[in-house]
Amino acid sequence: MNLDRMRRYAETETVDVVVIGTGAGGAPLLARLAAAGLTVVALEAGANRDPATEFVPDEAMSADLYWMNERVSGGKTPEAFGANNSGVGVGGSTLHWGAFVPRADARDLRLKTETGKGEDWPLSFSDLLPYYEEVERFIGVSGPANYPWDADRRYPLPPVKRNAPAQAMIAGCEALGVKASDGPVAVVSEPYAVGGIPARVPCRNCGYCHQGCRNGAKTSMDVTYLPLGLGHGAEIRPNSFVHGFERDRQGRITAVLYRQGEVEKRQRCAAVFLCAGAVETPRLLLVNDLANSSGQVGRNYTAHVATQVWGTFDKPMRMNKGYPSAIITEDMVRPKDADFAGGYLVQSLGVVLQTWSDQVARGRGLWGRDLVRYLDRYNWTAGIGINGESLPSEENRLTLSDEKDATGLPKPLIRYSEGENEARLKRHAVAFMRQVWEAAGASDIWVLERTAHTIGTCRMGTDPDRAVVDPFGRSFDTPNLWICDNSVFPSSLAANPALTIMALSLRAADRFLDRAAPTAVGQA
Amino acid sequence: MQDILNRPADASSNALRALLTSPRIPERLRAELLRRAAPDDPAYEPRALSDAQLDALRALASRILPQDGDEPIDLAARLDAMMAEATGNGWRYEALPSDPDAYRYGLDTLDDLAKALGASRFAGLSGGEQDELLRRVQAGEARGGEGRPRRLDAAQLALWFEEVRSDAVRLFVAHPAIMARLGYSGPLDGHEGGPAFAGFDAVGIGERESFEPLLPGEGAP
Ligand SMILES: Cc1cc2nc3c(=O)[nH]c(=O)nc-3n(C[C@H](O)[C@H](O)[C@H](O)COP(=O)(O)OP(=O)(O)OC[C@H]3O[C@@H](n4cnc5c(N)ncnc54)[C@H](O)[C@@H]3O)c2cc1C
Ligand code: SF4
Repeated sequence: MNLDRMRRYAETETVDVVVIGTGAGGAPLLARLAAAGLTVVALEAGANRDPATEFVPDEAMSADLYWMNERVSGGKTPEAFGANNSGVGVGGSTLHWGAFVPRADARDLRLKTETGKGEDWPLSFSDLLPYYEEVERFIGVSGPANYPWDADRRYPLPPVKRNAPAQAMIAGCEALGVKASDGPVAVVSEPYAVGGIPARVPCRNCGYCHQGCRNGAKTSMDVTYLPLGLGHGAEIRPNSFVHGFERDRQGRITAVLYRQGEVEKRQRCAAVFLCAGAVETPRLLLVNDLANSSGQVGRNYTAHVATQVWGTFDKPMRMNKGYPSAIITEDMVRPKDADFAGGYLVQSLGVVLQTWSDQVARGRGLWGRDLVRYLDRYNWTAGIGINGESLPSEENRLTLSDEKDATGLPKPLIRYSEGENEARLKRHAVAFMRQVWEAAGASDIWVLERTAHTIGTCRMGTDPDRAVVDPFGRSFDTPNLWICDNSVFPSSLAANPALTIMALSLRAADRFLDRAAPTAVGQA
Repeated sequence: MQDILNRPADASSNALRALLTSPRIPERLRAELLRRAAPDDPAYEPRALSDAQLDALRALASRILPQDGDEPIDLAARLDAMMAEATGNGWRYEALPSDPDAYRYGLDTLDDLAKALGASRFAGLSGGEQDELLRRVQAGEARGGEGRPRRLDAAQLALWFEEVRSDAVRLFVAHPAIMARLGYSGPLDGHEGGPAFAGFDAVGIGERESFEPLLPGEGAP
């Protein structure tokens, strides 16, 4: 994004707020706080990019979109990082996210009350609703005129074009009598203009959302909240890796320490919003022994169950084309015959060639002639996948390893093991997706086990002994430290996380500013 | 590069030429695809692996992705170059050492396992014997490196074999000749980014843009 005319602050000036990280958590609050007249500086470890000239439709050439300092992944179901879930750069993971933006289901926020398992959130759906509506309007969400699972919901833009996997999922669900619909997608399907930022042009169906959108049709923070923040006088400093904090005798943070290349720098500030994502946020806290009197930092690391089912069709699908995951069903958020707590969302899937081939070689376990023959079928295949609840567990945990990475900090060690509830949910989902794909006419069906997203490690709550931050994101231990990113989630929810992160971000900013929440248009 | 574009016209070089010269590819990607399409150096000297390890990796790569054509891609050399640049991919399994070391130890363990079968090294086994051994590796049953320094145990070997499959197949399908063979249209999504970005319009089942390669079974336009 263009940073040329940005306002700049001196490092010696005590700015009102330093925001660490410019992804889904950091960007909305940056804009909100700057709009309220505060002086705000964002420190971002990654580079600033020019999407139109730098992004290309090729996975190998897009590697610099991912957080590449090594993470060590253990446990019984170790999660893949890198391209799977961790972004770096001005815009964070939203540069290469999928932009699929379901709202959380109200029941998922009260899972413990409902089932005795998981955790309740220290807030209700009606707390989030006005923020969901505001975010959806501002970032430009495309979706159906009538959302089948919520009669009151309205999306600002009509759906994106259905690609071949989307058509197949619609056909399969129709045949089974399952409701399916165009999904809520943070991609503008028509020219879109909202106040405070440049107008955006519509999606061109290229299919390479995960390698960065080349025309800004996909919502990423660098085409939405970050330019809004800049317009209100915020500064964004790219290539600024935060590694430490200065504190006064009361434990309040007085300055943030960071490195630009080899140069050590220090920004004085009155408050900090730590928004570095659910791996780097807890790592920074653990390294600096900060905000952890509860001992909860790093605990309850969670990843969504993200199993996929793949099949081959009679007609060419060319699934590289089109927005990759256009269709949703929410019918399985609480399946009637479930033997597990929670549920899952299902979406159609087109995957581009290098990513798909990797999944085939790893996940289907093919090699030799079988692999070569199956790769030749690429243009006839399509997928369907879930995003499913994964219960928090104390044992699933991020700690510091004894190896150091290129930044000189200890590498994060993440141990993650799925439990019985996840295994049951997965069994149910695989059976369901198989049925849909068979009904859609797929043959040679196979299952890809995977997990997605990085969730938890600094959960919010009302009890300082069991949570790291309060229900708005403020640290119990360090009163001028706020955390706002995927790490504050007390549970995974079935919904993909980013819309909820953005909603929480605006809500945290309003709280910080001591403002009342806006009122919702739709009903809760 | 001229060599690639001036080959005699047969179906596969026509498809490759069409991809590499398409007006719809972004120039940065075209330059990279031409680089990938350049023939491998037959005298390639390994930079991360030893000569013996490179031999084992060549044998392994040809079991993972057998290539029949007269110009097979030297996946082992490309993997070695990747290891030498070892920027990694942002994570690794706790159970494995860093990528380059996992390759070194894994390949040495394969040679050990081949010796236990009476061969001089992994590359000295017949194709069928190599496959048989790799099936045991994949199943986590290839014991031999247990407890030995700079070797992988059966569980580690299975994980590492997964890594090699993943690395090798990514390099394989990133090669423009393979994209062309599959009729892959991904790189053709538009020359320019920004408001002029072209993208695709025909995205439904069985729909094809005029500039996309015809697939087997599809009639000429
Ligand atoms: C491939 C992919 C597809 C996805 N698809 C979807 C989807 O369809 N829908 C959905 O809801 N979610 C999706 N997600 C997840 C979504 O992108 C994340 O949940 C969300 O962006 C997380 O927001 P965050 O603020 O926690 O972290 P991020 O967005 O990752 O932002 C964190 C930022 O902090 C910076 N940072 C970290 N450490 C430091 C430091 N020490 N100093 C300075 N800066 C630092 C990072 O560089 C990064 O820019 C996807 C993610 C990926 C990777
Ligand atoms: S499919 Fe649409 S939103 Fe996604 S990258 Fe392409 S143009 Fe952008």
